[in-house]
Amino acid sequence: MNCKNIQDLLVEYLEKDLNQEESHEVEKHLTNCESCRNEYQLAKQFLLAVNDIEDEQPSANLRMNFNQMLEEEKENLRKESLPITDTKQSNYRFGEFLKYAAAILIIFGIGFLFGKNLYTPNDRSMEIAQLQNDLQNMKQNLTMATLKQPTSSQRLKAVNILENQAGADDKVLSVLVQTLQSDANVNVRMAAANALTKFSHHPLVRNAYLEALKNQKEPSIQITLINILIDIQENRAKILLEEIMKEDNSLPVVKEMAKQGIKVFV
Amino acid sequence: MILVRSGELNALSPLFEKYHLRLYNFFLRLTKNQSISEDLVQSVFRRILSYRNTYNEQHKFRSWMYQIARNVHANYYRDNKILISDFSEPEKIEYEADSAIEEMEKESRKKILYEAMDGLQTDQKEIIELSRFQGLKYREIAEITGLSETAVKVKAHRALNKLRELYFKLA
Repeated sequence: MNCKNIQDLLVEYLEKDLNQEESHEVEKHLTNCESCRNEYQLAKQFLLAVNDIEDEQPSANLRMNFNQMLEEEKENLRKESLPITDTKQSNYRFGEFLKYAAAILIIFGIGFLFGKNLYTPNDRSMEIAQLQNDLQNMKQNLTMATLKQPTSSQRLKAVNILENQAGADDKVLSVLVQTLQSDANVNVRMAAANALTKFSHHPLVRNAYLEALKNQKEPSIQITLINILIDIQENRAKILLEEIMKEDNSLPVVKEMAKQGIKVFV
Repeated sequence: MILVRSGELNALSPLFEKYHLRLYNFFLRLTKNQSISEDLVQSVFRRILSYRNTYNEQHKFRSWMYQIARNVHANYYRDNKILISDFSEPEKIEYEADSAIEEMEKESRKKILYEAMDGLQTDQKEIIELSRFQGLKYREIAEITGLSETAVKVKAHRALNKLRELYFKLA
């Protein structure tokens, strides 16, 4: 065997992975070849390095994030295991649907009768406007009912639909606020926070943001809220930001955001 | 893990305690980035939670977990061709230092070894990682990678010899 072959066997030789014949050959070669003896020393050192490689410690975030994820998953599981409320909800929604369907039928009926008897174009267009209005209401109600769905993706979709409706009344706003405060999923809460920015002149919404900043512990939400509060120039946020700065559990990045925010409000 | 599959999610905590350090170091040596490694460990456990229903008790939990870890790393690697290293002086587990000189030699060996690891292809790195640093048996690696046990053995030897050559060049 030449030097290259021998050198390729050194690691196995050191780990006693060779058969007798091969290890004899390696030994014989080593007594005669100085350069391979050097290689042998290096191989020993190399194995030492490989074998006592040490583990390094991750930061505390890893365990914190894991525990948080586990809690969220448990929460989801708990919700899924409550099928009784689920059926109630869908019955309720179906009932609501029937109610609106009936209302529309009646309106149609009345409209038809009116149309037949008093055949004026003005009445007609009023009826159509009324119908459109009712339809709009019905859609909105159905969407709001969707916010009680067990899966977060459906709720997320509902938030987006509500956001895109032109004028939102107090009812819609309060549903969105409730979602921002208490939805189990971070992404849904985040979407609600962003959806509400369109109505940030509304005192209800401004208060909701402050309330949320006080209670939410998820860093991504905290950052979004701080940004929004700075955007809408809500001076009352200053005290809350100072509290976040003092809080030991806040992430450095959140603290940094809070610091920037306080500067803006000074 | 069977408990976790049946909905007893708290049973995942001991598994996290047992394996998170190893997984973290698995990713750390592959990515050389501490925060990415933490994220990847989190992804592994997230997948374990989401796929808990597909866990098959005929396989060892450990093999299944490393399968997931490999996928997570492969996805990460595919999405981030440019590897950013934030490898600074990391926190170390406390251990008794024999002497200052030995300590320094150890450090320099480690440094050279890590540099040498950079010269390997990803699959070679992975096989060294699994067979050497994570201490898995060839049979287990075969189960994880889907290769035959012999193929794993050959690959591992080849990778180790390649690493040895790279190490010599740097030493």
